[in-house]
Amino acid sequence: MNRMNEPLTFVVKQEDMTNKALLMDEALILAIDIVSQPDLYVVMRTAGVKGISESRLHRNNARGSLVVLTEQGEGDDVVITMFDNYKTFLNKWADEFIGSAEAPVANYIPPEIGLEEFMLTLHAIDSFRRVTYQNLLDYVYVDNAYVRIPEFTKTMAGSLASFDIRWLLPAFMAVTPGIEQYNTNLEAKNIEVLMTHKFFTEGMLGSGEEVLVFGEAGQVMGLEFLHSWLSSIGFEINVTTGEGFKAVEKLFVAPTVLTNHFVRLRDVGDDKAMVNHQTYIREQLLSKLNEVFEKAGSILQPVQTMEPTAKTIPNSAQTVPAISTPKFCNNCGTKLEVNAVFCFNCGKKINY
Amino acid sequence: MSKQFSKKERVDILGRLLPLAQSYDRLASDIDLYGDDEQANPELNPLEEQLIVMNNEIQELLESYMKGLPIRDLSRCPFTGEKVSMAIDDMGLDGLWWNYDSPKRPENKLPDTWFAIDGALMLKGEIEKAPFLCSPGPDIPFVLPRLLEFIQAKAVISTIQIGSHIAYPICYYADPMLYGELRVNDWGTGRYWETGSMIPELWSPGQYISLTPDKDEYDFDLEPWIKAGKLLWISPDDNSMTLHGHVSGCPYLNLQGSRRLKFIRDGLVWEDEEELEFFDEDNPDFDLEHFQSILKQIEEEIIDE
Repeated sequence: MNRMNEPLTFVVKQEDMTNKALLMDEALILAIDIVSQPDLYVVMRTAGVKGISESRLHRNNARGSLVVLTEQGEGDDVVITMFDNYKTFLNKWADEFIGSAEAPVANYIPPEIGLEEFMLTLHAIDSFRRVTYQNLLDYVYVDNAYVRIPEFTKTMAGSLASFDIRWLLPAFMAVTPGIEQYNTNLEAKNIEVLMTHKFFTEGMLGSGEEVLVFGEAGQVMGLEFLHSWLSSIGFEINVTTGEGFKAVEKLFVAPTVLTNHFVRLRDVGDDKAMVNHQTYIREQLLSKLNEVFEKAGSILQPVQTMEPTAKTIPNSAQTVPAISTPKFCNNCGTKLEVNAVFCFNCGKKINY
Repeated sequence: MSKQFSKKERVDILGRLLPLAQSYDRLASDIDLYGDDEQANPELNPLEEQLIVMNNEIQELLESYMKGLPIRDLSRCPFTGEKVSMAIDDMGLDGLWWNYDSPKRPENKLPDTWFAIDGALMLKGEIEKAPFLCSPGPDIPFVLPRLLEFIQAKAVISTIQIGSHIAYPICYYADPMLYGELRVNDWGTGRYWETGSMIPELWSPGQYISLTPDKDEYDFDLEPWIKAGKLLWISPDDNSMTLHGHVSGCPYLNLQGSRRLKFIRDGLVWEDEEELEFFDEDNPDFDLEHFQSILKQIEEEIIDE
């Protein structure tokens, strides 16, 4: 196949599945082959103004550097886009989702901190936004914005339960694939991170009540996310091993006008994870993502592949839910979770 | 010796090693004076044998010194979060780790993002007397904009006690690695090990590079670099070596002290390379009276402190 400068996109409708002419298209056959027999695939969840969407990127080393993106189109349409390599995919992806900040900014959450601690920093940023909105509504102006300690903890519980992607903490939890595997029981000691990194300083009201006053990091990042947060994107890179696919990377990106917040989770056992947070300009982010994708691919074990021909187009595969995942249970009509094996409502096995 | 040496063991090693090295140099110099013709100088053989014996003893002592150096947590990578530990003579500036011209430093396991180490040191208390040149940097920490202007480069400032003195290692990291740019001489030395090839056509990878320190390169105004995310810091006495990216509460801002490079030899301290030239007695422009007046002035300043 000739090298491509532009990605090749196919919009496949349900009725096209019996369209022999379309299925004779060599490029489409190759794309479907990669999608159905990947040795690496990336689950990408994006939260923005339209809610959460999921797409998948597939690669099969035997097919060279090509990567194939599958997305849900309108209705039941599936959009299949084939890129030369990770870089061309990432450039196109960045044009759509990533901020074009060119100057470096401070990293108030230097590596590494515990996942629980990171969640607290996200909630501190959300709390600044919440307090600012509330002060606006109440016509209150304060030099040193603060939050009461019970309010901080109560709103964090509410935030986690809400899955409201307009807030940073729930957005992080909603779009980072596989985050639910970690034990994120917060302990009192975790809150120290907010003082250490100056998200808060200790304060006291005239009544003697102790409060959390927003510090340098809380104010700067709070304002940044208040005014210029664009979207959230989570990645999970899965590679084939001798025992099926294994998730090797979990990433989260939150672009703002000032920078691109890049988060990489490191599994440390016992259902715990450490978080590496960086602030990147566009080029740095693309370089790092490309590096992480390539590195993940370098550790995979090759899988046997078939040469794709019109006669050997593989059937649907377990790794292409963006194409084949049913949205609703055929038995009771309940909306299904992504990758659901059984219907949560009636328990009927889902057939892919 | 496979474990860290005690203060007493260190004094013992250096107490034997330094005079022995000086004797070795003198003897080697004497042999040079005899000339190369062994036939004409039958006295040479016993002297050369003595030289070999001395050299073996020096090498053994050096090995003991390097193996006994304590390994200290010095920094943390701002990209990966890896803690950086290094063998360093933190018992005083009279250890050969601090020998500017010929430092004795074992290899360290460093992160892939490691780029360079520089540093500053504020003298406190008694100045050690050692027969070699020592240059631990200016009194207060600084950064090199030449390096930090690269988007992938960051620096981390920390604190370590060296004997009675307060030292500030300044470690540079790059992700992805920065190639083709001169680094900076290793802290306290006149050279650094270049792992890459600066000019691939001319140089083979892996070689010492000596840069002439230029104080005009130093920027002591750290706050803008912290705000720009290019400089991070670690609190003194923080055993966890937690990195900080905020300006508020940063203990490295507005430190008072000299911004000039200082040099130390035999307990005498002077600043910047200009004064260093006065030390060269072979220089026809050497002014002994002026040099002695500078030494007197330095001594008085030390006594006043």
